[in-house]
Amino acid sequence: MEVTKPKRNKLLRFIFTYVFSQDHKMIAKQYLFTAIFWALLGSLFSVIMRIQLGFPDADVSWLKPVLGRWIQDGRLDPEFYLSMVTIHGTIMIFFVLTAGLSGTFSNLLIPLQIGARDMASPFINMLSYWLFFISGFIMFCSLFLSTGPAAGGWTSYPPLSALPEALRGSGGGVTLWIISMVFFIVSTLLGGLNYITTVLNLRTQGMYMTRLPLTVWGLFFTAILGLVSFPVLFSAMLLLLSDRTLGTSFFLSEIYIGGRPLHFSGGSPILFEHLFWFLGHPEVYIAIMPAFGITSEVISIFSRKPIFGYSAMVVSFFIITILSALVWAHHMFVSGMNPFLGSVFSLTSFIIAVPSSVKVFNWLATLWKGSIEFTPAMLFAIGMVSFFITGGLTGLFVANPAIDIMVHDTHFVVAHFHLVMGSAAMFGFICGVYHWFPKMFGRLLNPQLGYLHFWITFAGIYLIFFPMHYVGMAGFPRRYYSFTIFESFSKYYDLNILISVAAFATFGGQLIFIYNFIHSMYRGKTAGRNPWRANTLEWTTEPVPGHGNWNGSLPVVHRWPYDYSKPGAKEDYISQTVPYSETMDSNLPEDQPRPRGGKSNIKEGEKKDEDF
Amino acid sequence: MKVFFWTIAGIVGISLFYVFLKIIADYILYRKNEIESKEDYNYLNAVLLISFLVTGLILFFGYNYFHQGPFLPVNASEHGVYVDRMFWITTAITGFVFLLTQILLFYFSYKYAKGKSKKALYWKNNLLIEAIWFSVPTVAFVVLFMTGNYYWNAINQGVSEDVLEIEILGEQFNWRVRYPGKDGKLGNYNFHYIDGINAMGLDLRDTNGYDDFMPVQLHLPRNKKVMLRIRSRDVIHSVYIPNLRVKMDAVPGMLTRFSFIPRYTTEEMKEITNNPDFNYEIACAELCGRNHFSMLLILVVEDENDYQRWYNKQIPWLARNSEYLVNVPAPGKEKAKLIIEAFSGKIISNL
Ligand code: HEM
Ligand SMILES: [Cu+2]
Ligand SMILES: [Cu+2]
Repeated sequence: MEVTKPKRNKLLRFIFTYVFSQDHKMIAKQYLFTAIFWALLGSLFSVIMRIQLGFPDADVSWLKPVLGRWIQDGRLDPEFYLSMVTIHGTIMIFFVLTAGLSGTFSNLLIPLQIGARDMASPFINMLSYWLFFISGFIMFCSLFLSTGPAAGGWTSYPPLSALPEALRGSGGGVTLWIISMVFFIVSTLLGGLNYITTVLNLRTQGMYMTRLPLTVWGLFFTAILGLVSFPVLFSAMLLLLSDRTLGTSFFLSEIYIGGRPLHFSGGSPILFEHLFWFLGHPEVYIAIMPAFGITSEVISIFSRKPIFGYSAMVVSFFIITILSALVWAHHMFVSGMNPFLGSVFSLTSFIIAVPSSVKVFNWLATLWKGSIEFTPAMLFAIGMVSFFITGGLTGLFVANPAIDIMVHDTHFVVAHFHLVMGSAAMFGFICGVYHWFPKMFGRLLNPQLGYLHFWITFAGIYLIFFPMHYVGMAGFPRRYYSFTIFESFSKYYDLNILISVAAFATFGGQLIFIYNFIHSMYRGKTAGRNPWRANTLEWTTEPVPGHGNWNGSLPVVHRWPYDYSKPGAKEDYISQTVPYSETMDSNLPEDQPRPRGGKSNIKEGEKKDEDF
Repeated sequence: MKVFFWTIAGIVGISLFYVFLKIIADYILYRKNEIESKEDYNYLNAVLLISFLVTGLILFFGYNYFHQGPFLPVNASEHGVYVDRMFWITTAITGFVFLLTQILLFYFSYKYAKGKSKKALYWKNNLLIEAIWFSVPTVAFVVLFMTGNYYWNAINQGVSEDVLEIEILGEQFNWRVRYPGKDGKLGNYNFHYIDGINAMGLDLRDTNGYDDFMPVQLHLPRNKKVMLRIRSRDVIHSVYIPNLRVKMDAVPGMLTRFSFIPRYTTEEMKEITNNPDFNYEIACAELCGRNHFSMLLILVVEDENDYQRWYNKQIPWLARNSEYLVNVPAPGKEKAKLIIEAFSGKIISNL
């Protein structure tokens, strides 16, 4: 397919291969590189925050060469701190764990694992990446505004985010923030539509929905959830923009600021909170569901065991997708909302914990009596499960309004969501990178450096976020520039220092990964076709597949993806492309052929299914 | 005892450092000679995982055991008992599950590491087991929900007759409070009337507000039900009193409420917490701008007598700012004048 590209003009060829590529694998890499850039920047911002929180009385003039006017009299400017909080949150949640995670792995894995030559619409796919790029570019530019970037939190509640009088960053900063989000949402929607269409329509012959790898299931439900919830954020953004520029009063009312009453009347900030969290909560599942899928796949492969409870996993995905759209107001228990509504949303929040628990139990059952190989990917998968347990359990505190009165908007919540979403999803992401790096570059990441990276990061994250629960229990509110004003919150100087030091070390540990990544891209050990001895279709291509993925005809699928260590089989894995007729020794009674009308996609002169 | 704790931390640190050195050394060897040492690493990682679990648990229990003082701020309100009880019930349940699942996770990883065990078991599913782990959490979570909901309703139960209503207003970056005068009724609020002096937007068309007063600190009597009427005049704030387990957003354009009963006076709390500098602090819990982190208001809880004494000394806002008499509409002029006159002596004697 490469041949159709203009070959004579080298520049054009370069541009169409690396920049405006429509090959899903190249787009996946573009997402990945962009996400790594944003993840580094986002972590750097958290380092700045931790310098401030760990050492609130320290002189930070030494940062002046970098931060310039944001340091005054040796102090970090409080509004700059808030900008850091805001941009860190926005970057991490939207750019890294939404676009980065889904973008990288939906693009890379959906076509390769379902046996398609590319996405349903490669062009829209490319468009979706470039809209994301523009969105990021705008956000990046906002960092250099003289009034600073947005500073009202990633939730950007009005009136704070609507009135430049209330906060400097709510001037140009929020304008750019909103425009960036608008591009971002369009990008996510286009991407999501493409992923869904591809999964539904382009599965190769024999790839029934019931034979999809769990990665694809996770990415599929993620795309659906995004499609349901992002438009609501879109409307919230437009209404906020309208309040800011056209003088409407959707979210504003009865405001006296800057020495005068404003004309707004009849609007309600609570409306914005509802609209925001209608996306905001599903968003955390948008971040974690791809990680669920990746973890399930990797744990199964390296335990050399079938994933336990495949259908329970899919059902859990389904329940999570439905319920996650019905819990949003648990972020608003003390917003003045009717307490009865609080009860309702508390109930749905507790119920959504059930499918999540089932997933954890299934992972544990998969490890049980396995034959575990600790590749770096496997270690990150285990780390992901550990974080998900720790962070998930504190969810049972904050789902309970009677407790939430105390811990809402404190560092207890910061600890909770960083573990359950930040760290767990991030580990799912890193796990996926280690595992599918060979598919992207044909080479392996160095495992020893991988172990080092894992252990520093794993221990580091626990040292950062576990003590944070105690700081939160003492009551320290989030988005506070300093805890020293209040005697109540000044109890844990020591823990705050520990957290900060751990954060610096963890950040340093990521440089090992960056080095490993760049080095292995060019010098790593070559991987061969199927380095992990895995069953799914992506390992049946050439080591580095060209545009179109499979030479010749598309593979035909004959079985589910988790036939690991099947008794009687020659190897401890059986690729999805191996028909039952070739594995007579290992077939089970339920493997008997059943006539089925699955989706088939017989194009390009493929042979008919010879399965049975 | 702290020594013990730090010794363990030190040992852990040194061994981790050793392992890192080993990995780095091996990495260099590997680069030089292309040695394959996969099996070793599998065992090393398995051991590291189980040691991580053990040291993690030691640190966790050690820290909790040697922790000084309470984990949650000392509670001093009636409903706070419910909050705390719910918190510790949940901690007990989740703590058990936490230990169980983490131990299984790390133990399985260690026990079933490749090389030590035989071939993996081909085990796809088991309906009974899956039904159990769908239903056991469901039951547990519904029970947690019902307990929580019972307390939540108790916390929000209807306001009784005998309740002290006080208005608290958030602004960038202050809390302001307003008490009803002798009539026991708060006057209306209207943001249109806010200016540099009438900072709480007292609506002078409402005669109930003429005797309202606005002190610089919040004083409350012990053991009396208080209802805060919470407002904001600019952006969203949130009234947060850690020791009283109070948190409620202050939303512009909307009135929110929170009622509670403080049980201990500030003096009593100084003894309970063993801290002579103790003060009830009111903080802001919703990001409101630059100085969000410093919206401190001191709350004083006193016994009934002290409270009355303090209350009787207060002077209505209108009496202090008698120039606002011109803004009082005709029907209320008489009442306003009476109040101003009644307090004029007091103001002078205060000067
Ligand atoms: C290197 C690891 C990280 C560290 C040390 C870190 C640290 C912090 C700190 C100190 C805050 C501000 C707390 C406050 O003052 O309220 C924060 C906020 C936040 N972080 Fe992280 N973080 C890390 C990684 C992540 C990741 C991976 C995510 C992805 C979900 C994330 C998402 C957020 C969000 C959403 C907020 C809230 C922002 C807001 O309040 O508007 N963080 N983080
Ligand atoms: Cu939520
Ligand atoms: Cu505030």
